[in-house]
Amino acid sequence: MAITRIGPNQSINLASNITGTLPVGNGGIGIASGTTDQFLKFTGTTTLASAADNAGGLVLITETNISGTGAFDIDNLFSSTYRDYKVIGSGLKQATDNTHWIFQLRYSSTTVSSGYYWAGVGARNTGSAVDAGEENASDFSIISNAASDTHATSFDMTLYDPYGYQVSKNYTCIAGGRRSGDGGHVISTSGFLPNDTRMTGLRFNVDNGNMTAGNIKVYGIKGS
Amino acid sequence: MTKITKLNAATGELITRDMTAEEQAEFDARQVTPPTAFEQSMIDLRQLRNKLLQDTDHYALSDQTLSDDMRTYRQSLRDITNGLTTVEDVNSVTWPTKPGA
Repeated sequence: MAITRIGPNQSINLASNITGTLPVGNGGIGIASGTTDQFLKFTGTTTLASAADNAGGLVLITETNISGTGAFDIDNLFSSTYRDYKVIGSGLKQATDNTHWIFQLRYSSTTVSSGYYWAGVGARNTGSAVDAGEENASDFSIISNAASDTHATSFDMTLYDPYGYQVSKNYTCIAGGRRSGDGGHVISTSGFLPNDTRMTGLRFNVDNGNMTAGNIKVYGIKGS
Repeated sequence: MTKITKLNAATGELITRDMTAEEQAEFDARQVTPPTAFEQSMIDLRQLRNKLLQDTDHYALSDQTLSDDMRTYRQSLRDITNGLTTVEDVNSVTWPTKPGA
């Protein structure tokens, strides 16, 4: 393709003024087409469309700011599109001091309220160990003893195949922030729910009063 | 009436409304009164105290001879909650020094 110098007020119409493939930097050769979700990958000598570069990536499904609510439900969230999901909660605050952030799984507008098994280990900034756990509980734990002040709680959670027919729905979560009446704390929790129903949603709440602030994002983890 | 926020991830519809009577009853049933600051500090103190006792439990087995120093140390741990009435009391407790094995 011939290259023509263009002036400061001139432009190239990519739709009509170019034929063939677009040139790329460093002398590589361009690509003519790609498929959905592919990235362009420059190998050093050429440019490829590569689906593999997107494998394992996070695809944002939903992001919500919550405030002044006793419960936050997300429905029609899990599907066959993704097997595993990442949930990020940040800036979480609640009305009552020293409360417990928890979540439950949902399906068909029904909240599963029993059968949760979880365990957690962590530490306070004083160095004291924190451990906790429950059998056949009414919910999964994110973190307890959260402080209701200007500081907040955040968490990073992974949900494993909630939409599958697997008899056990698993999660892992690490959460931390300001501890009630104390400094910082961190806890890593994990558990399972022995229930083979295809789960389609989540419910978040605290065990006393309202959630007053926070942002919750849910990503699908792209498998291939 | 307590509010509930519901998001339909498929459509993006987000609503916050009053809980239904059924939702409110479920919400009310799940409410837990959190410990006061003093109660929480005592919970934390006992958790750490119990851990320290467990660390020396094996010295008190029937086939072991418990030294006087260890006996005193373990009794001091058991007594550490005596007389505490405020968070400040709890935060200022002096832990006994663990004797050599």
